[in-house]
Amino acid sequence: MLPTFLKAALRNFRKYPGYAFLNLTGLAVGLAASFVLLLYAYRELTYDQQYPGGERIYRIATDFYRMGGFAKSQEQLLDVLPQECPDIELATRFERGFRETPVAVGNTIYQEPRYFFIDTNYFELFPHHFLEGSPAQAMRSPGEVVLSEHLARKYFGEESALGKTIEIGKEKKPCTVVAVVRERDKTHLQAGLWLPLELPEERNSAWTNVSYYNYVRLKEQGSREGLERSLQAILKNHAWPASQSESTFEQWAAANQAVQFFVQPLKDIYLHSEYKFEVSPGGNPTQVYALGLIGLFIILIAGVNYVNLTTARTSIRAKEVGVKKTLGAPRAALVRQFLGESAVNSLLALGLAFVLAHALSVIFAGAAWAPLLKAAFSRPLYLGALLIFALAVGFLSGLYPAFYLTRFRPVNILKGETALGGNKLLRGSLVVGQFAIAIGLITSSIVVFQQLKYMQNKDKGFEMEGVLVIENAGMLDGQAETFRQELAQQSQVVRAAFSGRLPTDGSVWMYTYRTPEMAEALTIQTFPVDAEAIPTLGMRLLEGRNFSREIASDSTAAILNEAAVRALGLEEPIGAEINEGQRVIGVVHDFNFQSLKHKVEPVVMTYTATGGRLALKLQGQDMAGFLSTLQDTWKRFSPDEPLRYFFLDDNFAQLAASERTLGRAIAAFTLLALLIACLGLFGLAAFTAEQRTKEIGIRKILGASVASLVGLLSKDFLKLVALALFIALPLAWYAMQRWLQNFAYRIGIEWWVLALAAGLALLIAFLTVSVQSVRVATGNPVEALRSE
Amino acid sequence: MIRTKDLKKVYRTEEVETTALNDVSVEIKAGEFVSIMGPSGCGKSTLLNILGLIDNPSGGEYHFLDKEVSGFSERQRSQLRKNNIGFIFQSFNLIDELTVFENVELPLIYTKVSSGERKKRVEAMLDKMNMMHRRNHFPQQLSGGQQQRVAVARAIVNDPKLILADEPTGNLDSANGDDVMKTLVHLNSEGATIIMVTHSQYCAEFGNRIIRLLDGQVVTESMVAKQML
Repeated sequence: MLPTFLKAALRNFRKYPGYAFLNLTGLAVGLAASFVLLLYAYRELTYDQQYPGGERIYRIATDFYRMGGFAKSQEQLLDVLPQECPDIELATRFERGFRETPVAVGNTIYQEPRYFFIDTNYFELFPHHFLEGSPAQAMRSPGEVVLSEHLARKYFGEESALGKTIEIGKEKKPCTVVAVVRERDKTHLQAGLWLPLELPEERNSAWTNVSYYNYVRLKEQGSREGLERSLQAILKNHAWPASQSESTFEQWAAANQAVQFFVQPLKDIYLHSEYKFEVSPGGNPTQVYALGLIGLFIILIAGVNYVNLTTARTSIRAKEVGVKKTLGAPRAALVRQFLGESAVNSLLALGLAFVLAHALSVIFAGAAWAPLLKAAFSRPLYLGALLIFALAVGFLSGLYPAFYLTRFRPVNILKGETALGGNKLLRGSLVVGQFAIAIGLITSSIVVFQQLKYMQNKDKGFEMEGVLVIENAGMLDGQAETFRQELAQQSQVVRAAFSGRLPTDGSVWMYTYRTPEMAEALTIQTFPVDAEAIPTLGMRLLEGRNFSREIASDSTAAILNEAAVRALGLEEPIGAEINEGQRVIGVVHDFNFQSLKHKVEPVVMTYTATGGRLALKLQGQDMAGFLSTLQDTWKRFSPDEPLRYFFLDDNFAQLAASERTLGRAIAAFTLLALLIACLGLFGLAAFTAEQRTKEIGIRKILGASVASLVGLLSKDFLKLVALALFIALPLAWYAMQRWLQNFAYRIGIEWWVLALAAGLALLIAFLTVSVQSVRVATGNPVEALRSE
Repeated sequence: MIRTKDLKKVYRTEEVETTALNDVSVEIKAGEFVSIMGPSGCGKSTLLNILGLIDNPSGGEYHFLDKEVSGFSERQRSQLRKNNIGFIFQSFNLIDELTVFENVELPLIYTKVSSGERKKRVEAMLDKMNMMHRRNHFPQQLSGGQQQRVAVARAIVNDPKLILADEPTGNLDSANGDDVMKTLVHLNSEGATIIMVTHSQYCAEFGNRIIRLLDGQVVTESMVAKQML
């Protein structure tokens, strides 16, 4: 026996299938989309919170010569810090594998990108669940390895991995598996293999080095201030003396070359660390906040639909309420009934969302968001959260209709004196709110895409199309030049250049420079390049000349970019002397070697005959053929080391990857939000049109044209959308201005973007409402009046 | 003015087919005041709707002002309707959201009369109907008789050649009903052609001809001896 309210809810669906469809679809899509977005935001915001005492864990980052800060810090830091700082309970240092390493298991060789070299404290500070072995036994001696559950399965299947030997690295170092641990989710410390860290016998004595990631956990009574004080003491007692500076500690600490320490709380690292050499790529806070906010917006829009569609149907339900009240039903019971209906509705929507989510995660199995969607709708924990979420949405959106509908006095209802259709002002405001959100999202989408396009098309000061970079050309040593000459004979190769570093490759080379006039040296980005690099990369010389192999003195010459000329204060750059004996021979146009978020920094290019990277400017047909020739040639020169290369433009595109994801996500969810808002508007327009059927009939008989009637019916809604425009456009403009501040190179928001968003919103709203208006306006007026 | 030949109207729903009008042939000359009578469901209102160009016949011919209009599109009918026909309904059918003045003004808006002219004509009409003092009231604030007077004002503000009235006294007490009938007779004497559907023999006799319908067919036509008012 179903409770009455459930039966009533189900019968309502059968009786008004169109209404039920709108209500359910909107709510289902809203529930699914917002839950996934909120889950995503929640996950990103709660990284690294699962470690015990995590709020007392800090990482020590450092900087010197004002290079911009490093996530790693000094090799010798933990030799002195724990003694210096009574607040510290436990400290660990570790190193991350620089690039993927071969792992031989029997005859199979795997390439593993994520592995750490850790000390014995690591698993104590960052506890993992040990499936095999124990923390006490792990990492006691070289030749041991701890595997993640995932890799243990990959290597050994269902067999126990404990005690097995795998060979790691090119040198095939045999290592015994001493433990298998469960990987941790949601942590910036992502690794699949853990190897013992071998500290050097002789520690570095200079404090201008970064070697290890240094983490500490403070005692419960310890404080961040205490840690910072101790680090200050280390600067004074160790770093300053080691610098052999002749100035006082205070002078030294204020100067450019001074060492600095930064204390980062563990939970801030994933989203907010912007230091170089980060353990793993961090999250993007803008993206997290934006998508989380959109998630909230979507569920708001969907909830508002429910409120609007339900109260609009007051006329239908009022009589039921009146009769029940007359028969003696207490108001509380009626409120319970409506809340119950709303909850049932929400659960049905959840069911639909469930089907929808599974269908989507199957259809788009390859998409980046598919796993999250699947997890949201399958993990028991999330399912529980989802159920509570759906019920909460059902309850909250049912609250107003429940109290509104049960408020009337039965005598008035039965006499038909109720103001039909609920509170118009409230419904109007809710529609304004919905559309304000949708308009804000439309505006943001347009601006994000414009900025992305701008970043793609902006003159970067060098040409990256068709430039292939061999990353490990440095391996070839003495044979490098021969290798280059051999490749240069290929018809596809226009030019080939050696360099130590290329734009976008993520490496950091910095050096201090000063002119004779300068009191203090500046730390400036350095690009060691050969004589071919400038033409190969299509950089533009503004003054002077390129390096030349024929001129011996060029080995100490320098070419500056415009920013460096300004930074060094050179009036006449050509022929100027920097760093005692280096002559400036040319000036190149500024070029973007980092993401466009960053302003072009000063660059000094120095001459090198060879270098770790070989850039090939390619053109013409048969790239596949060329790539296979390249592989063959490489094999002859370096049979053991695999060729590693990338295309420069791919790499540059990678720098804007998170912005592109954000753009796509905003666009997709904008469409969703708009769709849900339109569903609500559609339903509302249907009810309004129904309410005004009589009026429309009379006007028609009196000779009103269809167009004038459609105008009449649409006008009220368009007024609401216009009001929403006034609210949303300034806010969206402001928010997008803020977002654009993230970019050193950015577009301005032009008036037509706002006009376009406004036009789109009005057009979409008009089309939605028109479907209903046209239906009513073209109906037979006789029918309209008969319905009286 | 009006001539129909074998006019048919059939309503279809999924299950049943109902014949509302069956081969109705009538002729109404300009200046006549014709009452249509008959029991509920005999097709009176259907005939009135077709004659008033708000519904299309399923078959037969309909000549209005010497034009065959049975095949006219909604747009063409609307054009003829707003320039030539005024409607009075049993339930008044005033628009609740508009004031008395605005309700009466509506037909003039749809015939594109300038706003100054509209004001003049609406005010003259409200004056004539003795409703000037209520011009800014809304329909719910009026009595039934007052509402019908506004409805009549709206029907004739455009000087229609033909006035159609569907049970104009049905929702009124006898005093107010008499008022409406007197107005209609007066309009008829000024040259308007009137077709009125009614249940009441008393009202029907205000006209000069009565057409009786039964089950969609004309059963009798009779002339009414002119009464002195």
